[in-house]
Amino acid sequence: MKIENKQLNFSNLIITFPILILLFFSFGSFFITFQHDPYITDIANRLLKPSTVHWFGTDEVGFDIFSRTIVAGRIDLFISLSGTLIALTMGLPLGLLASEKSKRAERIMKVLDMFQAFPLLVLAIVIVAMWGNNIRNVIFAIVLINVPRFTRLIRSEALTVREKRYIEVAVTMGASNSRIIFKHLMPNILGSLLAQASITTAHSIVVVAALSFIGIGVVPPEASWGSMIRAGSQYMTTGQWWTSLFPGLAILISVISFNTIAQFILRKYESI
Amino acid sequence: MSTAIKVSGLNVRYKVDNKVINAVNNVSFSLDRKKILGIIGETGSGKSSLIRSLNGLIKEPGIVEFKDLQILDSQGINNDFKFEKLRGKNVGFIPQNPFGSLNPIYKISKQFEFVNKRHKIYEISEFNFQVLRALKEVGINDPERVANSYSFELSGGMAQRVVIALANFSNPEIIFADEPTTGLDVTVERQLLDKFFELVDSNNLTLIIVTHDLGIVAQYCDETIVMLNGEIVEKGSVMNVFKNPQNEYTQKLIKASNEEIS
Repeated sequence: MKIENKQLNFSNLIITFPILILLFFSFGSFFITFQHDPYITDIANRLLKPSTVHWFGTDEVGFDIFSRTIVAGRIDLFISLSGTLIALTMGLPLGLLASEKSKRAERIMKVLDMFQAFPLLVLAIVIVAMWGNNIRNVIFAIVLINVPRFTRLIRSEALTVREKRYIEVAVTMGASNSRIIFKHLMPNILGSLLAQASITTAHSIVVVAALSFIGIGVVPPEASWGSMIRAGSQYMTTGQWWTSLFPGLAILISVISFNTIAQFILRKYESI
Repeated sequence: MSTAIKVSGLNVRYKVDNKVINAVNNVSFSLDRKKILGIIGETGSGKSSLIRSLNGLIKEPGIVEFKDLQILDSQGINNDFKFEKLRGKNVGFIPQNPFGSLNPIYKISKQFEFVNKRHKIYEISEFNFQVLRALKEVGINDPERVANSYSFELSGGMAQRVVIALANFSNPEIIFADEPTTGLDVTVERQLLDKFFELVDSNNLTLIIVTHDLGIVAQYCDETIVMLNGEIVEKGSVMNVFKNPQNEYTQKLIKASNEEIS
């Protein structure tokens, strides 16, 4: 018993790191007064190496990479988190509906199959290209990509839980349909749901980066990790490695953070 | 003696791959209040389907049809028959196999709270006391510990006691028990059944119990139904059926169980 508790505390400690990192990327820019304004170019000081003045160096137009990497986190994380949350809130009722045995459920699943037949990134590109290059449409694309996934996950989880005997026992004790859903079904699928949400956010970060890498979605002067990598990519061969490296690392760290959180949640729920 | 439950022309069918399986075939019976009915039959004789259909638990692809099904309250009134209204309030159900009958994410006391909230049985001030009383009533010696446990921390026998206590918590008049002791070992089974029938007796409950153990029926029940292939082959008071079985299948069953004893 004691050993178990120690292990739990240890993993609790580990989980604070990714959370702190993500909090820093999301809100850090509101509290830090940057030495260099992330939105002001300084052509005279373009492509400077990392130094004590410019910690991460500067890019081709003289933007300070350190301040922009942190400001970009705010935007990228906002887009992927809000996209995931909206997809989750839409997917949850849909998935629960689809877990019923009815004609309506079959219809929902057919429509979702249709969506999932598209290559996702292409779908996102088409949406943003069609409806305009702004953050709202990027979020919309992420929602559209992820609603079928959440619905599918929630449906399959709900289907297994629905067959559990304690659901039947609750029914025989007079629990209403909504009570079964809210008190018995939902809490039992919460773990895998949260884990999936965390993984989805990580995936969305990559999608947002991919979109801004090819120049849609978040466009300069607004900072975004994807567009920063793209701006720096042409200088990689000439030796200015820092322009792409630091935003790339930021993506890596935040994706790993979300994945760690997902794993933590799963492990915590599996142990119950 | 007033009637508690009246069934006539009950059919349960399962449609699997365009084949129709008749699990329960034209079953009719009635049971008086405060009587204990034991339904016996071999595996696949339709006894579980029968008792589950009486509580509206048959799901697709099952089809339930009946000419008449009445579950009456103490006044003998049966106004607008709906399973949703009867469940818990008038009818309790104890399922097969206690493992998994309790939601693993809630403590036992919380699950009692759900039942209490749904049926508004006890005031909050006396709720805790009533939970402990209900747990003691089914033979749990340390009700405080059990009430604060999760289902997976309990043994099978304990869990089934909790399930029985839960089913009885809302003070139903009729209880359906579908092989309540499967998966438990013999000593635990006896203790549990003794407590269970004590509870049924002291609360004046009407009970329908499904089992394949003739000993249970002989010892505890007033009436019995013998089922084979979805049909009733013999019914009547336990005394008559066991002393003087008319049907060939019943004779065989009783002979076989006698041989087992001697």
